[in-house]
Amino acid sequence: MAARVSPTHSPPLGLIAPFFLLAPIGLIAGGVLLSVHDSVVFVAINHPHTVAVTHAIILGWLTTTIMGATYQLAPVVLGGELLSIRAARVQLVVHIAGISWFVWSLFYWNRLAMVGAAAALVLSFLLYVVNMGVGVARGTRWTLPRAYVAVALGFLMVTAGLGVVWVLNHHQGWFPITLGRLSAHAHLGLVGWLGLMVMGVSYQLVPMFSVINRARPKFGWLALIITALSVVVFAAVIFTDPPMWVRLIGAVLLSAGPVLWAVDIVRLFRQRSRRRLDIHGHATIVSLVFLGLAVALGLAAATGTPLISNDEPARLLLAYAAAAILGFVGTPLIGNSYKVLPFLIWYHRYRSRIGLSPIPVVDDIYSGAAAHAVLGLHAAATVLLIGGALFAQLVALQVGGVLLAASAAAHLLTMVHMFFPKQSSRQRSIARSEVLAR
Amino acid sequence: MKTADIAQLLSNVYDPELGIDIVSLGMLYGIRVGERHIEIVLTTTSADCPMGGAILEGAETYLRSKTSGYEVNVNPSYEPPWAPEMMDDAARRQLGLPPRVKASA
Repeated sequence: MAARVSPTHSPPLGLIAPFFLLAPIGLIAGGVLLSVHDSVVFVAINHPHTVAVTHAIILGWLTTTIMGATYQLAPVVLGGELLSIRAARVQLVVHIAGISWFVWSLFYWNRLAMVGAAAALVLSFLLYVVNMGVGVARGTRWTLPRAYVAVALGFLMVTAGLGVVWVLNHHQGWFPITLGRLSAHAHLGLVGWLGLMVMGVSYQLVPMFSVINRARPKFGWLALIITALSVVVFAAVIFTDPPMWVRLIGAVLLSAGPVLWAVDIVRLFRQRSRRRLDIHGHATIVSLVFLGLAVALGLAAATGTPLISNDEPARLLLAYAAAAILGFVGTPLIGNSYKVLPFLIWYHRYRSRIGLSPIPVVDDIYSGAAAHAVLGLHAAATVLLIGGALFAQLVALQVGGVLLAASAAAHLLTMVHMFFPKQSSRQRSIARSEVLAR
Repeated sequence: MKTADIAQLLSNVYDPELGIDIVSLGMLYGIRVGERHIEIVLTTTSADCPMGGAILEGAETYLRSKTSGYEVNVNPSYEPPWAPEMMDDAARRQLGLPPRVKASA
């Protein structure tokens, strides 16, 4: 039987690598903007500077990383080729230009510029979704990751569509944009797009990198259905700025899918053969911890009174957003980057020399210690931001922003370092007697 | 050329993701040595392993470079599926697994 997946149709390294190398700049920008934020951040979650920080991180860092990773994932593990490599290259240019312009326009609240930047971003998303959609449709079988990616692509477009309406509305003034309506847009993006992507891809990567034999997730399909349905229901309900008990029920429903996924991932980890976890395994576990924190903070935010004006109402929401965006979604992407990029570099640079000369293995492409340092710094920054938000400590928030930018810069440097030529650092030898005695 | 010699040669081919040689990992399912022909059956830790193709190609390239005069074919097989029990103790040690329990005589 032939292997069912193969990197033979892998897009060129020159397409994927720029996504990974440009993405941390979004987090650097977000961290720097946070470090110069003032105390208004605790009062209004929809302050222009806060919205600019959020979009720099979500679109600039997380979405750009996911786009690069999934362009690689579609042909290699989902089994379908992309529609066009050239379109993906064009999309990257449009995407980066659109994000830079959009974050700038949000920060200075320039409504006209927002419209132009949003148009560029919609073009980027369309190019991406069509390209990836074809890749997903060409897949050979409906695996869990493929289904999650397909649904997440739909949520990306819905989130973007709602975002464009908000931007046009700022310009035209059709109707008031309440915090509930912003929350609908935010959760469609956070849970529907980012969350489902992280969850779906983990069903592929966790068994692969942790060597889990005959992995059979128990709740994979259920978590997908519950998450997809609950995010639609939650967005529809929160859109109307409902009373506290309705928000609370919505938050419980919204948590159910990701919690089921988390239970599944813990079950999978228990079955692993690779007992010594690497950066990917550690990042996934850190993500699970942050998910737990995000669920608790999200429920607390729903029971509180953050949607009406009172003293520092944005604190819980801010802490929740930090745990969910930087922790639950962000940390696994850091872990994945130390797998996807080294794999690509190895495949394109060393594969042809396998068996002919000593070559590095994938682990030799990057420093495990440096990768763990980046993960630790990012997690520490996230904890500081959560604490700073919860206790309204502006200095903690600002220092957290500096640490976040520093971790992103370090992440970028470690990824650039992967491209330098490497040698096999290990001369492994299995005793001949042990081999022959088999 | 004997099958043991071929196995010894293949122990120089590594799974690039795990950094462990394919023989220790238990990926070598079969060796058949003919007059001028060597046929190898290999598996990977999973049929979904993106490194699978590279490992098969690598094994074939390496054997060809070391066995001049022989025609070498490396074929994949996923039956039976690879299982952790197929690893030897050296590979298990590298992954942090305890050694296999040996059956008492």
